[in-house]
Amino acid sequence: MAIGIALPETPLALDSNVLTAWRYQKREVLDAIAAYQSQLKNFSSFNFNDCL
Amino acid sequence: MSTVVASRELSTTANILAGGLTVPVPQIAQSVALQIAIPDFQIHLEMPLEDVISNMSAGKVLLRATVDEEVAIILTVAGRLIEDQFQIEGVYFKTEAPFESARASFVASTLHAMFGLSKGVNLHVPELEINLELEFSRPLLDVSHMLSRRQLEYRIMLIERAIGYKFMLPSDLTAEQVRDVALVYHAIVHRTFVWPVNSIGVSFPATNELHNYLKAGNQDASFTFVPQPQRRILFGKDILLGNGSLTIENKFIEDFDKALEKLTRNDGHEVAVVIRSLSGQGRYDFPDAPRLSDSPWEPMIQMLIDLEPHLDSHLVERYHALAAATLSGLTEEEKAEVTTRPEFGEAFLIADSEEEHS
Repeated sequence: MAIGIALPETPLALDSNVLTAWRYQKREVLDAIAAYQSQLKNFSSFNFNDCL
Repeated sequence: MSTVVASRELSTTANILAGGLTVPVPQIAQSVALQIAIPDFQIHLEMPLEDVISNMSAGKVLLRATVDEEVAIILTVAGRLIEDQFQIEGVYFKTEAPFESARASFVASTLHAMFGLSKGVNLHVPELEINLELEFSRPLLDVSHMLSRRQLEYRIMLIERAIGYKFMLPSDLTAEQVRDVALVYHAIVHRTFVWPVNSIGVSFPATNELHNYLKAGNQDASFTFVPQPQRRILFGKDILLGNGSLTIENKFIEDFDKALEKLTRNDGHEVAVVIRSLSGQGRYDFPDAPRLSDSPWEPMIQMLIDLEPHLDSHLVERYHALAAATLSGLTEEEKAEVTTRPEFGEAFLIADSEEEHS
C-alpha cells in the first residue's frame, strides 16, 4: 500500500486502497495516518461525502 | 508561494451548553481570576481577569483576561436582556497580542485548537457568579490548519530560544522560509536527519586532490560532502549552524566519466558536477548547531507544548470516526459495493499512439 518513503517534510498521498482500509478502520492505516499527523500536521481537505 | 502564519487575532464562536450570567454582573473590587477547565484535555487554566465590561442592555458582556505578557483572551457574551434575565445567544472567544510574535501566536493557536477539539469548555469566575459550559465547534480542517501553524510557530519560538534572539516576523511566510525554519529546527533538535534532496550541483576546481575525492566518492552508495561552516538567514537574521555536512543517499553522479576526465587536467578550472539522489533523500549532520538549555520554557508554555500529542490524537480520532462513518449502517454487500475499485473500461485506456495515428 505504501507508495514511498516518508521524509520529514513530505506530504501525504492516499490511494483508493488506503482510503478503503481507512474506512474499514484497519489498524496499520489508522496508525500510519496518526503518525503522519504527529509529524507533519498537514491533513488535506477530505470530502468523505464523495465516499457515500 | 506564501502562507499566512501569524495573526494577531484569532476568533472562535461557542454555543452555550449550560449556565448563565447573573443580572446585573456583580461589581468587584479585588482582582479575580478567570478559570477555564477543558476536561477532554484534563487542563485547568487560571488567569487574571483584567476587565469586565457589562452592557447588558446593549446585549453584551465583555471579559478580558491575560494569559501572559504577550497574549490576552477576550470573551464576549452576547445576548438579550429580557426582564431580569440575560438570555445568552452566543459566546465569542478571541485572543489578542500587542505585537506579532511566534510565542503569542503559538499560545493562541494552541488554545483555539484545544477549544475546537473539546466537547465542552467550562468558564468560571466565582466572584462574578459566572459559570458557563461552552462548546466551540470548529471544522476539522480549520483545526488541522491551526495545528500546522502551531507547529511552525513552535519551531520559530524554539529557534529564537536556542539562538537568544527574537525575530521580527512578517504576517506571511514564504514556502522557502517555512522550509528553512524546518531545517534549522531539525538541526537544533535532531542534529542528524533525513531531508528531501533531488540533486546538488557543485563546482570543483580541477585538481588531483578533488579528482581523487570524486573518484573515491563514487565507490559508495552515498556521497558525503566535506563538512563546512553552515548558516541560514531567517527573517533577516544570520544563523550559524556550525560545521555541517550533507550526505546524498543512493547517489548517482551525472556524467561521472566526463567530470573525472576534466578534473584530471589539474589546471584549476571549475568543473560542474551534479550529484543526484535516486531515492530523493539526503542526510544532514549538524553536530555543532545551537542547543537549547535543559529547561528552556516557563511552566505555562511547557504545558501548552506538552499538549501536542493530545491535540494530534484528538484530531486524528475525529478523522478516523469520519472515515468509519462512511460505512456505518451499510450491509456487507453495500460496503463491498461502495469500496470496490471502479473499472473504467477501454474508453479510459491510453490509446496506442501508433494505432491512433495510423
